[in-house]
Amino acid sequence: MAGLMLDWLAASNPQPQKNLTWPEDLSKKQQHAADVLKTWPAPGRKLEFWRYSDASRLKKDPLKPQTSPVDAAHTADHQVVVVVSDEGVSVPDNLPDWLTVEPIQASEQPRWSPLDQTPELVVQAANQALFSQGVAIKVSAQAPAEARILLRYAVKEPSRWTYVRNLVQLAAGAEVVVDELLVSGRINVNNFYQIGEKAHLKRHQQVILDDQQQHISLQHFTLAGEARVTTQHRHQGGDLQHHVHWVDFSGEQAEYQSGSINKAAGQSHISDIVVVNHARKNNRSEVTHRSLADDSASVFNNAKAIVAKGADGSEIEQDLKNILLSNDAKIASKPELEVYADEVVAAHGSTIGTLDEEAVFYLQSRGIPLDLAREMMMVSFEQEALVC
Amino acid sequence: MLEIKNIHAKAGDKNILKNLNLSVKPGEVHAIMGPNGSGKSTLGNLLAGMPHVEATEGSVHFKGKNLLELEPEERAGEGVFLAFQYPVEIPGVNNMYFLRTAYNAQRKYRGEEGIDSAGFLRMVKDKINKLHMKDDLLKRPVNVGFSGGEKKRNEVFQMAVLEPSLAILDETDSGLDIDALKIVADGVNQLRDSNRSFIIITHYQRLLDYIEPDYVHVLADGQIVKSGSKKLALELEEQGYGWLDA
Repeated sequence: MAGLMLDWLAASNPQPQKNLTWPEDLSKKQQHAADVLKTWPAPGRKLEFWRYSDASRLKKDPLKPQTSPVDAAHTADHQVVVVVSDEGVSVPDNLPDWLTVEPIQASEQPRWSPLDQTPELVVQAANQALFSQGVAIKVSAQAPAEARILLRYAVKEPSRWTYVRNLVQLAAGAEVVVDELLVSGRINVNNFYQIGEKAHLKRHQQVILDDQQQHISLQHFTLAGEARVTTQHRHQGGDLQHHVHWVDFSGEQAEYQSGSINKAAGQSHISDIVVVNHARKNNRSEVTHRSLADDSASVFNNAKAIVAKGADGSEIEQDLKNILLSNDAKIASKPELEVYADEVVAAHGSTIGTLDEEAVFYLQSRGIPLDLAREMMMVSFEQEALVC
Repeated sequence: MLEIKNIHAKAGDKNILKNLNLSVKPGEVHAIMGPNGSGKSTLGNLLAGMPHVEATEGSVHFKGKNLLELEPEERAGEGVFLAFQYPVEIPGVNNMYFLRTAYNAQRKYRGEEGIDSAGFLRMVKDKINKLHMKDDLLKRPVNVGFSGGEKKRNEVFQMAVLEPSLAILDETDSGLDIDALKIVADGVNQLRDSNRSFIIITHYQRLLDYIEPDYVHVLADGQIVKSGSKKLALELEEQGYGWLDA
């Protein structure tokens, strides 16, 4: 296991000893995380989250500088743009009154996700041991209705992993839109979203990669009573994408809704995992995935809901639909319900098929060429996963 | 315009059409009637190029071209239009975008300039008003949440926009109430001219009260067993198809 830890240290950008200048308490936590990490298995097929992925790709050296094929520079709709780059985090000087942004290490009590949850999160745990930058964002209830923040990841270092950790706190009653955009870099990011009572977070995550890029993310949401999270994910391409969305309810009458669109082609692999812990009563979760795999690409979809004993009144919906666009593409799709409470409304479904040939023919019969007809059907397929 | 000679065709593994012959001249309206399973829809699907419907013998020429060699979108570009018996729902793609894409794709196939969105909007609004249909149809996703009648009306609307040379209506009257039937028939009648032909596949004579055919053909066991004028449809309505076996 020590070898595993050393590999990650060597592959870290920048080298973690820089963190020795951080507050002692934080350094201790990082050291503890590193110690725990050494006892966990390396990512591999024995772990459920990595069963369908090729974890050895994590160590692969990319052959060329990495930049998202999508121009992600558009920031006109955002009041605040936070940029994570090789130089660290840049934050605009004149922040609105409803917002505070500070470096993660300067935050009073940077949230520390417990490492004893599961070794399945081993790669995310590496982030806790090695993160070198990030921001703590606080949104007050005075945020205007159109409040919108952009978190933009633009790291030039093409080969080493950059570990980023962000904390986003919404005060009770606050509403905000947070867009996360990967422009470039080989980034392992942990984001911790703490949503106060009756607050509403709308979030868009866009990770569109070229065929050599890799990206790892953990999104940890904690929802207080009557809080809402509506989160939209678009994951496309890349050598390896591994996303975990981890949801905890700390109050009642809260709602988590997510929609994921995963599109893999070439040799891409995308894992999209959502775990919702219904530990409290009367909360609702709705998870929708629409995934397409072409060529020799693969996708792993997993939506898991765990309803604790006594968490009656929980409502869960999991809807995973997948389309294989070639004979060599692979999709593993797994809705899971683990219910220990008595009164729960739960529905889950998963399908894997091909594009609707009759619908494609319908479009062709109107004069639309085959390639465009298939493209239109793919756009159509994605629609149900557009939640915000 | 359309010459079908000795055509044999199968749908999947099943032989459906067996030595079918049909000639359609410009401006003619042909009604194809026949019992369930006789091959009416297979004929329409064969002409439009549906996958899994395959000609095993014979030929189909449309405006002098071998229709069977063309892809479905090429057939549409040549002017073939099939109004589906069960129009397909396409969530997330609105009618307006779908139709403009189709319209411009057909124009491109014919080597013509595409039309911009403003010009297209003016054109479709004019068409939809003439057909006495509601223009909210344009904003809705293709056939999603449409009633059976709305889907059929949408097929006729698409036909009016795309202005095909040969329109095949596959049981477009099924499931329509009398008012919807009139709207559909009115749409077809508005499009009738000396250069446009129709093949109207139907079970019932009632549609032919509103769209007067030049010829009525009875299809049974994959071939045309009887042809005649509109009177033939009235006889079929009275006597059913049993007498054809006698």
